[in-house]
Amino acid sequence: MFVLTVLKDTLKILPSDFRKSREEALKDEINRKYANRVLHDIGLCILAHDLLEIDEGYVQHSEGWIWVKVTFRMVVFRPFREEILIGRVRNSNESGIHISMVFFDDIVIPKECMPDGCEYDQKEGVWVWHFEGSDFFVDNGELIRFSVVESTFLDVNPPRPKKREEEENVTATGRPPFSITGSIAQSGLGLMSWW
Amino acid sequence: MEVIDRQQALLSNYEVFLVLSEEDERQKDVKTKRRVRYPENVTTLMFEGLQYLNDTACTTQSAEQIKDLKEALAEYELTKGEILQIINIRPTQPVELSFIIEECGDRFEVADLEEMCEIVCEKLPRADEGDETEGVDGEGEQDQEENGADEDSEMHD
Repeated sequence: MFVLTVLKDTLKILPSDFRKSREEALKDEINRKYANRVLHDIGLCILAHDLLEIDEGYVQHSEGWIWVKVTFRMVVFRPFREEILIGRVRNSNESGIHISMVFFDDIVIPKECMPDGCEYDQKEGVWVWHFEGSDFFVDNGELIRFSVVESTFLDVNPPRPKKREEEENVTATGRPPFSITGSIAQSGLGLMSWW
Repeated sequence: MEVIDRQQALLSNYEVFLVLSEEDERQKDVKTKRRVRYPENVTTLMFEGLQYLNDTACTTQSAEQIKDLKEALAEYELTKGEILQIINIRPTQPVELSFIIEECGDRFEVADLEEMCEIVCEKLPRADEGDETEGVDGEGEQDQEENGADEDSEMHD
């Protein structure tokens, strides 16, 4: 589910960080800039893995910090299609089952990707799988195994200052920049307790 | 910012666990020497990442185990992605292999799958499971669920 991505960027080292070794300062700066952020079409950045190339760095005449061009490798969360992942059921609604992997929450299993015989129980607020006479409930907090159907990247605009009329629109369409659609249709998938 | 190579390599959970743990150690070490606050995105990610990986099979793995496992599975001609998933998920029953391996029924017999499960248990041993036999399927998952339930209540705090 994790890949190694090679990136190149120009980062700055502030004077307050001059006491650190060049490598340590750059790694901290990379993590500060990229950790837990989604790069479009690449995935969710985790941490810097290592540095490949560092140039000498230069100081702009009007500033006090050093700009350094770095080529580095980043650990990125980007599951491939049909990879099997394990998460926990966060909650369910008519659109599907929402799964959380602690560090990544935007995983949905829509009805089309569930086995035949699944339906949403409005009263309990959970999905139920009717199979061979038994009812299997998809309860919150349970461990669930699913396969990745696709990863969707949305190019999200930076948040704008909220005006009163716009505020409602902005919060209503809070779509995540990176989301995964999963499937539990195959046999062996679904709650770990079912098999 | 420029992307030089979008996917240079696939990483197993074990390798990512190592990266996170080493960075965690380093940060704790720095914090004992001076007062430093790491940015929120870094601390959140590390906490959550370690919390997730601590619940998986990678915590007891090592580079030698993974190397041995790959050599032992070489005769089955599995793809890279399949071997990676086997390392990450640590299947102990043939049904778990059936969704990891594509066209499993065509490529392998049940006996082959059972052999693979035995190899996995042998090369990636875990103390909380002991000897795995086919009928026993609840132990590993139950341990995981109990740990997970504890962690859930921590998160709500």
